[in-house]
Amino acid sequence: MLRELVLKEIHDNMVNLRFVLASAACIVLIVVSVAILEAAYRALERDYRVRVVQQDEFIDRYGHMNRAQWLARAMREPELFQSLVLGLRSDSDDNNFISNPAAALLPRLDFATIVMVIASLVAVLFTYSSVSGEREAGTLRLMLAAGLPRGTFILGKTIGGMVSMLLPFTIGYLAGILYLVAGAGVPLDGPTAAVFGLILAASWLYVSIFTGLGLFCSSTSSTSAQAVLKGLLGWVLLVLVMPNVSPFLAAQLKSVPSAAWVEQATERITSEERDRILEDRATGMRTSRYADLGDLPHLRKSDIEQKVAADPVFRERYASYSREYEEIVRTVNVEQGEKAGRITDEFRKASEAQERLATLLASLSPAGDLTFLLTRIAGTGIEAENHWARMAAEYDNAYWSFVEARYKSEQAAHPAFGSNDHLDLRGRPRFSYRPEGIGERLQAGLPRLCALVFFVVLFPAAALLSIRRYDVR
Amino acid sequence: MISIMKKEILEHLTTYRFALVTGLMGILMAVSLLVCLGDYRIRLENYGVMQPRDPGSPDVVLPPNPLSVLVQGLDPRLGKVYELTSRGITVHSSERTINRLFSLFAVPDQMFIIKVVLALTALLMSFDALCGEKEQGTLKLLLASGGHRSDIYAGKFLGRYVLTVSPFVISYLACVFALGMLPDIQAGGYFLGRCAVVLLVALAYAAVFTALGLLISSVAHASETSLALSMSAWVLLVFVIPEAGPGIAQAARSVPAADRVEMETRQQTIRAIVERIEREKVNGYGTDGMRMVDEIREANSHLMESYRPKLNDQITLADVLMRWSPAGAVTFLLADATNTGIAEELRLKDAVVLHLNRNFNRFAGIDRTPFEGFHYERAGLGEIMSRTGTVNVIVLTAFFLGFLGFGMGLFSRYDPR
Repeated sequence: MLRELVLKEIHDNMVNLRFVLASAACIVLIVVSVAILEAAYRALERDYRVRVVQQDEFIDRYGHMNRAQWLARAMREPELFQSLVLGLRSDSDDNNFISNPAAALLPRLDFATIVMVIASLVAVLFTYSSVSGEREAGTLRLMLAAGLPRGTFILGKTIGGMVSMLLPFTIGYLAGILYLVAGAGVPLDGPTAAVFGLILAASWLYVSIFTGLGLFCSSTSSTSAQAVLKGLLGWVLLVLVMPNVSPFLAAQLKSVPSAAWVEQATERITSEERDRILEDRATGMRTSRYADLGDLPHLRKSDIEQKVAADPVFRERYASYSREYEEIVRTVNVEQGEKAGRITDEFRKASEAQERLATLLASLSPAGDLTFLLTRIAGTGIEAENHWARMAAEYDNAYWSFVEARYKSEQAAHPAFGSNDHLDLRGRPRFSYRPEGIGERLQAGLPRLCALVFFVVLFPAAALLSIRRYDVR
Repeated sequence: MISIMKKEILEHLTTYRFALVTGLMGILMAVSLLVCLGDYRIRLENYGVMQPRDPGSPDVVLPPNPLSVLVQGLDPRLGKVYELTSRGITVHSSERTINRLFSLFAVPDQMFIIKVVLALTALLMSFDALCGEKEQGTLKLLLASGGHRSDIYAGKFLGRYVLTVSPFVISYLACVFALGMLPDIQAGGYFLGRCAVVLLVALAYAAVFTALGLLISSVAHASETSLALSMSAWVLLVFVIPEAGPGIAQAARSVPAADRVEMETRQQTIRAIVERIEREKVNGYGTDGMRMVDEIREANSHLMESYRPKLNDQITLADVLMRWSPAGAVTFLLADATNTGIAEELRLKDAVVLHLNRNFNRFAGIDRTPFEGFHYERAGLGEIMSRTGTVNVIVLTAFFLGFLGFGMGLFSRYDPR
């Protein structure tokens, strides 16, 4: 009986104009969006390669101690899967004076948006009349009178609705993947195939939720007109309102200090205040212990070099002065860095708490869960950015250790070697970004997956409860 | 026509559909107002922390625009702190938060409600205006009663249009009234005038989608088909075309990535500093500072001059592509009308560059007189209309007339037999 019901449901949907429209829309939209975003990804990827070479050449040519950290920045390679899931917009766009405002105002269509907005709406439109339509036509009464168990009826409608919805959607997705693999030459290795498969599975669950929602609205309405309005209201709340409101609500519930104030305060501590303290301590050192070296800050570099070469006593005294001066610089940098770090840490903790609350609020809607899951799997979300930031910080430390070691060895060889002199940094460590493994991504995305499964079960179960109470008379 | 319009209104005023649409609009407006007002207050408070205390300060920061409660647009970007030095312009984040979820989800402001929800409600209120009557057989009776077809069509349109916009207008005016009562909004002529412009644009946009719903209803024979077609049209016009436009423009007219521009600016500054140090090793300390400043200035201007035409090209193409949908035209129109759009950001940045150039000798330490104050007036309506506003209004009008005229033409050929 269940099999017949499922087949009937699939058949009814497939011969419907809605099915033809949805199939065509899914295929065209997914392929077009993948093609556009893949072209954008290629451009970003080319730009990334050029930047890496340009930075390497620049450091080789202009490497020196004083601006060593300003010279080298870890760069993140664009993520291949952003052709499907755009995810987070880069902040650097907002914080450069020369930047493109279009990206901030005008959203772009990706596969995630197609699933989240379009496929879910189509799912509601596929199913809103599945129970109320039978009720209006009088066939529900006949089926129940013929002894069809109510659970079987709902199960048949649910499976039939889901299969008929997932079919055109899957065809569209596979066409998009085919374009990426065959048209754009993306290599289909194990991890890539796993990401493609997981994105499809997550999208299936999400679309099934809205098939269930349509069924639930249909089973609680006496007419299809009522059912469609209820379904659309539910869709608007779950897809358009709840996830979008969550970050704003969280910002008001958990307030954090101003990022700009934090930036200004740390900047002041590590520059103006640091320079003042450094100057005071260095002047104290010079007047108390190195008065014999003369007015060092106002001597020309070439004069010092001449004196170092000509006078062995001056050479020794200058080397001792340089060591002490470097020690003062190091101590002041550490002290001021720790002071600024405490402010930044407090801000980071408060911001993380706000972000956690926003995530929790957004997770109450399947659209929020899907966004987090897809960006997690595709490596374009918050966690991928955190992972990148950790790797970039590790690289910064390794690079800085290398620079310091090189500088010390140059100073040992040439006591007059200063922080603005050219430093050969050719053997420096190079940054290479390794995205999280697919296992880690799946493991971290598991709670979201469970939330989606919960929603998949919730709506058909509610529909079953509602139909159980239905009085055939 | 008037009697048909009245009939349409009275028949639907007590329906489940109208109650649902009214409830949805009321809830959304209230949520949007609370959320966006809270966000505006946070930005206002933040501005209080960030604004330069000294009127001659080299830093530039704009106060948040009260209209951003209605259309947030790029206002958080416009409110960033621009730190001007002889080495160029540094942008500091003035946001209250670094919560990254803001860039994952859309802003639930009035623009979102108008663009997405008002269009949906217009279609929901009109999709069965004619095909519903066809199904019930009452259309035949109506036509047999001798009424002129264009009058019937116009009456249907006006009736459904009033039903669509009345919940929106009531909740919108309630929002504006509530905002006007708040002391931190300062609802003067500028604020109320632009609120009126937003309302007019929303009414025009609702008219476009009501006309589209009626057109689909005149083509379809069954309400179910009409609903499916209406939803497809909504998805196409509200999501697909406006969201595909920027992507196509980005692929067709590429602009250097912000990271690339940042790197090049940084490298040119470092190069100028290092070369100055090298020269001063020979010529003596303090002899080459001005040359370095000039080099950095020239490099920054060169970057700006080569970047700006490419950016303008991309934005123009995105604008042209998005105008193939009324939602695209409305996005630009609303953002520009509330001074939170792309044109406003480019205008502000031009003003900041001009301010830097005018005060450059002061930043470089050559001129010791106080800095000139930074005065910025947001674009007036005349300027907005002369730029792209008129074109966007024409696009909306063309969509409306096209849908209405085509629908009327089809309906006049309808054979009731």
